[in-house]
Amino acid sequence: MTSGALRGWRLVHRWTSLVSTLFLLMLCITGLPLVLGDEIEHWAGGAPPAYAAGTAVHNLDKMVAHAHARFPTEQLFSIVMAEDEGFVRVYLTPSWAAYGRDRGAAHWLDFDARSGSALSPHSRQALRVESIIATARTLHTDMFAALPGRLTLAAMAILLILSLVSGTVIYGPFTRKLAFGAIRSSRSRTRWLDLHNLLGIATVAWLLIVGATGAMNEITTPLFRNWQQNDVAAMLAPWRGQPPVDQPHFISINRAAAEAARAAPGMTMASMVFPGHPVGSPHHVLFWMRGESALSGRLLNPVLVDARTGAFSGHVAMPFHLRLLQLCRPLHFGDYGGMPLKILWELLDVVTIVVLGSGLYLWIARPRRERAAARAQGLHGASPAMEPAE
Amino acid sequence: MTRRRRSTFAAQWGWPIGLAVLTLFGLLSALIGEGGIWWWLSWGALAMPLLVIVHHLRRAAQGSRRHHARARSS
Repeated sequence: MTSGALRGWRLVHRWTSLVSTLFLLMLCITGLPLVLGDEIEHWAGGAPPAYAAGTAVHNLDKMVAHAHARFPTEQLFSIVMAEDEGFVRVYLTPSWAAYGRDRGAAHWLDFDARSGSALSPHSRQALRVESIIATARTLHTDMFAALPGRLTLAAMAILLILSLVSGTVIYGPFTRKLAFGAIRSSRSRTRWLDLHNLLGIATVAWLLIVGATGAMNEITTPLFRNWQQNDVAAMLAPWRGQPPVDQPHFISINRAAAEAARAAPGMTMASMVFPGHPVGSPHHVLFWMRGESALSGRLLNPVLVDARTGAFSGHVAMPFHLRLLQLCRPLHFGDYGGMPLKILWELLDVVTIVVLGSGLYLWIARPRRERAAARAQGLHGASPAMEPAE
Repeated sequence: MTRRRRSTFAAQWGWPIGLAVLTLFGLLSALIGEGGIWWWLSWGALAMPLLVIVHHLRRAAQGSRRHHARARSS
């Protein structure tokens, strides 16, 4: 590599890292509780016993009736089937306008998946834990800044990818004379440089995948909205102009679910979204159906059932790029290979924090002559020296 | 490319490339495989980068202890 090219890659590595480091540290730290979020919430709340897969789910209409009885003025929002974990979660919102103003307006009631009985409201401790996890999740996904926040974090993920690529390129010249993994103990900065290089190069593939899928997840929401406004809206054309369905006039949810199951043989229901939901149809119950295998279980298929008549209205075709996004989503969360995978995710996250911290230290403690050169020549004249003086 | 240059390339990039391949295998085998052996392979593969890091950290710690011991005895 010519010294000019090396200088260029070093500048790319330095500045992409410097701009993104604080965001990435925030993402790594908030990511720690999120990887084990379900487990932490279960531990705090005393979750119901899990049932074997395929357990028949109890009467959904009864659960909804119970929810309506407790919150008579509220709107049904969605139902999420967590029968693997033993419960069904019914979401409600005071009104769609309230949800539009504040996504925190939606709340939920849990029901035992098999008996259909309402699970006791969460203790104050459980609620506190849940709110901490929810805060971490919001920070991690949009920093309380909705779409601009998402796009900012997506941009930081792209900077991370540039930083990883440039870091790998300069890893070559930096370590040419060293055995792999050697950590010299001569000077503090040298030790941290060697540590940064070892930890960085050993985990670069994982971080690249997690960063790339993180960026993908951030742009999924606008892409889904776009898909919904075009493809789904075109499919809903026959219903255009009809007043949105009032929730009390729903057909039976059990019947709608049976209709959706008939329309998607071999699939089980993952969730259902009620009319009025921003990502749904004003005239339909939108069912998200998933397959049974590991791979097809990741692909959610939307099925529309008319909320007035209970008739199957159609499958919604999903473009290839959205299916690919769905398939890659779990690669960000690490929730697809049991508890050992989650623990590996946590450990790799900790390694990443050390890489970020050591990188920041290396910049702060950079050799004085380099800083002097930078002052004298401006940023682009930074010294090409790549090895700290021994 | 001379033999010597090839061998330096292998010495320098063998571990990084090997760990990257293992990582990608580990990520995909749990995603596409149906549990069982594929999950175990995934855990093993993804643990490798961490084990390599721990190995080199321990070696560095031992090396620096020896270094300090030498410094004290001299």
